[in-house]
Amino acid sequence: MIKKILLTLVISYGLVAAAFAETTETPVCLQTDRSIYISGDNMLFGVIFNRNLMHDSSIGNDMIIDITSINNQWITGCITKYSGGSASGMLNIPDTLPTGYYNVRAYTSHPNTDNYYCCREILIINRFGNTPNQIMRKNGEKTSQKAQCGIIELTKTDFSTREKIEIALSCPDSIAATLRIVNRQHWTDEAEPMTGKCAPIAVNEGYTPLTPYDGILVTGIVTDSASGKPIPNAVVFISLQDSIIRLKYDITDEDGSFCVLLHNYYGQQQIFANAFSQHIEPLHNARIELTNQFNTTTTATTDLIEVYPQTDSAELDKAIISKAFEMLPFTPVGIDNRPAHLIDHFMLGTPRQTVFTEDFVALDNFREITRELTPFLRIRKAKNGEPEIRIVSEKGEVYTNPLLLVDGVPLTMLNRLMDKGSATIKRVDTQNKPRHLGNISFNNGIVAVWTHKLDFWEKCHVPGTYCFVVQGFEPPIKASVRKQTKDKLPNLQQTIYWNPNIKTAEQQNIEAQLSDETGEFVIELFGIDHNGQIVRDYKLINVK
Amino acid sequence: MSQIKYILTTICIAATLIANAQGTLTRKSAIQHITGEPFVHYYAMFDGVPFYQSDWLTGSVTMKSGETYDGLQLRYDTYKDDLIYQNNLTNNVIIIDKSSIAQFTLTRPLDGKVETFKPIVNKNLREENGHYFAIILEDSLSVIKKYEAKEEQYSNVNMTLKKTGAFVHKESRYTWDGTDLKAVPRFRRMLLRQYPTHKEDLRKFFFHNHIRMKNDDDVRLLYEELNRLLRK
Repeated sequence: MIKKILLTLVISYGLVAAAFAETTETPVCLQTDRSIYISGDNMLFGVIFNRNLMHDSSIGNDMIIDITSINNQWITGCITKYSGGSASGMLNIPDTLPTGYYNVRAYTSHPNTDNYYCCREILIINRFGNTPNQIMRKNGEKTSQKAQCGIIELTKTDFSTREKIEIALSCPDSIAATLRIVNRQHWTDEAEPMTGKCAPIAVNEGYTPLTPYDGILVTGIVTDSASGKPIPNAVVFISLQDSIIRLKYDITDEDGSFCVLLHNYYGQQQIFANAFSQHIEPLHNARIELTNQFNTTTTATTDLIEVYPQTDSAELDKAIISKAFEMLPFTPVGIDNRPAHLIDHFMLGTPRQTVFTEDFVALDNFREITRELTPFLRIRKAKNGEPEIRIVSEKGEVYTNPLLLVDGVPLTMLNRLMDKGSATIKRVDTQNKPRHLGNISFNNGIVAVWTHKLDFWEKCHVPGTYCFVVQGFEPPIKASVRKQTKDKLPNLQQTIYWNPNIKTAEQQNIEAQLSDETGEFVIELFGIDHNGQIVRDYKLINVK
Repeated sequence: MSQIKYILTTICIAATLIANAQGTLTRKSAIQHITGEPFVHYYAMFDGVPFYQSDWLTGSVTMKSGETYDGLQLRYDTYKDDLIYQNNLTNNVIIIDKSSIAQFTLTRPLDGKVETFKPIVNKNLREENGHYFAIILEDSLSVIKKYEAKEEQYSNVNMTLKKTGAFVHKESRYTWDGTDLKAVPRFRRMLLRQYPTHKEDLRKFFFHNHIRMKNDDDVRLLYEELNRLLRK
């Protein structure tokens, strides 16, 4: 009888404990390389999901990281892509921020962000001494409850400054993790981050209320498909399939390169690229390739960031030394200078004629539509036997080969549209006056055709029109420690090592070099195993 | 002497190269997305010009999406209420789409004064995309100025000059609270009648500041004070 009672009690306890563990489990964990920053620093971050979210495809694959004041005023942010349950990246902290506590938030772009949200507090010290009378803080001190599971192994715990430190990772399981070595002063408890509802962002009074994210930078090269030589002075149109015209252009350099910023676009986007001559004649032989790093790979682990001897810490005098030496804590390497923002615009102007095919009898093809519904549009056979489109203005002027857009994307071969009738085509807009877009003139007018389902380009392939899927995510980064030089510059680096791309199955030994800073340092591993279980381990070392 | 000539020639060549290099480097910044239609001259039969100033002015244009282009050659056509832009790269003269403009500025060449214009949409104005107004004061009760050019036909046409009329320029000031446009009173007493509760304060303000209702700066000062009083 006693055995049965005991058994029942044990099972009940187990069930309760399991239920409790499930409800208190953190869905998203956010780690930053430090907890105290000088304004103007770069903040490195890593985000890890628990097993429930790891394989959930419904939440998309982009993770937004931003810094807000404790009053929820948005300051800066970026978007990173997560895969395998983790994400990482870098955020630049504006150097105008006043001293105070700020929140770093990580959340998915899923509409229901309540469950996929994490918030952490950091202290930012203004580089120029812009300190308010009272530093605001929302939360009290937290207690540390770190788990030690024996993954990090050290031969000793006492080190001297600038000494090389060797870390062995012993783990039978494969863990994707972030490893960092940081001054203990910059290390706060991160076992229990704040999770919950994503608070609405307040109107930002102290900073210009800009949209949080710049957009996707698209760079590429235009070459001749036959000879492979770059084509200079070609007009490259970058467009999106949409119900309004979203078209940007750039004129290629001597080396055939172009660069367009899709302002306010982020995450994954499908774009179309066409090359034209400066007289807006399609270049059918042009080959367009994208070259920018953000869309070729999202798993680059190359050393994009180099750590210089730096003096950033909570003490302002050290920051002043840093400024005097004009030393930035981090120098981004290999990131393009971004051109002026290119934005959506009113390319078509007010169309002179607009026809909705639904208002009339069903017509089988585009030729019939032009004949019956749009008498100002005429289709004739060109000298090469291909059909060509003409606009006839009110005054009887005839413009041959206007720019033809289908679902917002330039169409260079009219015969791809000829078999589409009113079952496919919803609307035809015609601008029979010359139009100007920046430095380009559309002297023959513009014809814009819209389909019912906005899916023309999913079924149509036109030579010379390239479709790319670009991803506007911050690439994962790794901070590599600069090799010590023989100069006498002080190296007061607080974060000795930061690598968010550790795979314990592949990397068992890690080397780092300590700075001139003395005191207690923490070696912390923060990762996720193949079951989606969050793993943490840390070791303390003394540097004298 | 020949050495000095050699040095001077080298400096000249280097300066030319640097200038050209700069031009190449800034080519990307020339990429812009101003949209519009070609401008066609229409005032040959009239004396005068239908523009804000008689010459091209340097200014900037801010698009509704936030993009700003500086250092443009602009003219404000006060007859048709259009902003005209000369693209020096393509030698085109373009009427910029009003629907795309958030605001533009024009710098007067003589006094260097910068005037900001915004398209304001109001039910009383027939234009779908609004009318451009110069902003004198931007507050809860803004003061704006309308520049207009109207054609005036000559009663006796001089056929040798082939001019049938002239453009007459007119300026009028309005207050704008976000919904209604009201003309700014031309006289002090009319303004005092409009705001009887602040009559005494305004009277004192007139007395101490020597406000003249014809002067833009004085009107700005006056309405700054009026906004302050209305907020009380």
